[in-house]
Amino acid sequence: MDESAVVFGNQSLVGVLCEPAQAGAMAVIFVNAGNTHRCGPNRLYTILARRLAAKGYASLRFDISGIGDSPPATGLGKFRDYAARQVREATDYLAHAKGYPHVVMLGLCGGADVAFDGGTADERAAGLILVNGAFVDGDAFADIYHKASRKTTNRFYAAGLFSPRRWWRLVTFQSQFWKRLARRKQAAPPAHTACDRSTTETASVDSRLKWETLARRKANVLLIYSEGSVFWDIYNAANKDYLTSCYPADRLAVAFHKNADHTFTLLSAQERLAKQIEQWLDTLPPSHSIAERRAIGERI
Amino acid sequence: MSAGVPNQNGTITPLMFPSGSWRLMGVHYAPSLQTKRGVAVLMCNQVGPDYGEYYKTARMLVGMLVARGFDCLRFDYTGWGDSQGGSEEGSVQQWLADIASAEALLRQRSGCSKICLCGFGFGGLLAAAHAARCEAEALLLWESVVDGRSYCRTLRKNHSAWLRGSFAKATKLDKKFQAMGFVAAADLERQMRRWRLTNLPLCRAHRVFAVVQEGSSDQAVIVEHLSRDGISVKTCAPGDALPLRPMRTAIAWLKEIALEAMALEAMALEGMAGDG
Repeated sequence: MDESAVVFGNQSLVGVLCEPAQAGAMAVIFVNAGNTHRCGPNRLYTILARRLAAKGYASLRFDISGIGDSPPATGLGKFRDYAARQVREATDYLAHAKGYPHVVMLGLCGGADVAFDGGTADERAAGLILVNGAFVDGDAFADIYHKASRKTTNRFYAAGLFSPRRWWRLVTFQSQFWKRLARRKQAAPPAHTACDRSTTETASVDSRLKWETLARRKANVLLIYSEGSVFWDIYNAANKDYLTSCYPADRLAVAFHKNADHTFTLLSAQERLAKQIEQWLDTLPPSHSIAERRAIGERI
Repeated sequence: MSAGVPNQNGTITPLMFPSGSWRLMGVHYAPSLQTKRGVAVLMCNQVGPDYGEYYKTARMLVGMLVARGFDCLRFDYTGWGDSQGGSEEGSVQQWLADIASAEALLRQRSGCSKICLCGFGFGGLLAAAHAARCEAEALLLWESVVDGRSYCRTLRKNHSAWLRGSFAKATKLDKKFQAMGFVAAADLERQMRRWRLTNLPLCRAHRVFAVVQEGSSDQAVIVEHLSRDGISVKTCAPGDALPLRPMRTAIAWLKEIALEAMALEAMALEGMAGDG
């Protein structure tokens, strides 16, 4: 495995290219998780990149403008727009400079939404690994988020109903429940908390057009949600019914990681996530050989 | 090593450099030649779960410093960030060796003879340890850990509290010392617990600036231990989530050092001309 520091694109984006000793057929692009720099939360992207290299997959983890070491984003417009453009620049770099004609885009949290946008706009995206993404656009996101976060909290306390330790902490006022309750009492109620079916559907119109594009392109998608993420509840409220009925079942995999928090903090959670991603990548149809890749890269 | 990329304030060069048998990831920020001040700043990052948060602070400080003419190098220790090695392969001695390698690289790339070590969190303790053995001009401590033992204790306590309020459940795999994403082998934790500011040899840096909670016991320890004849320790409170005030104060402090260095150089040149 070899790792090298790279700079590419119109905005001089800083990244690390991780290549296996035996060059594989496909490269993975890691998209910044929120505003966390290219190593990912808890160094997750670095760990995944090295594990994937051991399996023969090259990868590029880079910083979108204004995050990590890439120069600030001045005059580039809205974040989601320029971030998706820069994911395309990363794909261009892998194709032109390294000869990888196809990529898999991987993003966590906000990065999942950017990878989703980038993957929709680029035919070279053979697959998407979207971890704890929202895929809900528009002003209604706040409403959906509010309702979903209540569900997440309820799930957390429901899981503790049969735990004597948690009951003990509750009755002895050691539980964080009391702090949360106090905070909720202090916080002003949201202006609008209704989240009916029509709100959810309106919010997802743009996303659904993107899902349709991906389905037409026969892109393989792995959706991963962790038990501790509010985005699992957002998925259930906004995207589950639509995706299970409309997206080709053989190209969509949805995984739920129990006992994992939003950023897969514990080693055990990271291990399960890495294994799942490796297994899923192995199921993708084989891409081109190295010689074919180089030839395609030259043509591009 | 990739080529430097010019931007409005200078040049950014991401690079991999050796430190013993490891390769570390660093980014050299060079100011434009017109603004260059002749003092370079080495960023020694935090070692702990809030590495990412301090990374953002360091990056912001670097941006402001480069715009004002300072060369900066930000790098990851062995087993951290993009550098080689797993999180269990780092050791305090290795991290100190990493700082030495990074300092040599910064001197070579910047051409500056005056170096300021800037350490965040546990990186502050490492920077102070390195300042006791090298010819650093100045030492900037940003919310530095002063006692490794109490730091590790706090990490364990915070981790337990976080686990209780989280969906995450520890399994057999999680037996190692973990603190919200920071993984350390038992031996590394033992090493970290042994490090204490008051046990370090006297700092050889000529000036010290500490961003530390005013009135705290840490402030007293830093001032007492690092002050010596003719050298005073300047302090500033960390402030809010966006630490602009301490950054501006630190930059003003560094500008003074750069101005003095330039004046000394000018005097030396005049002396040489007079001798000639």
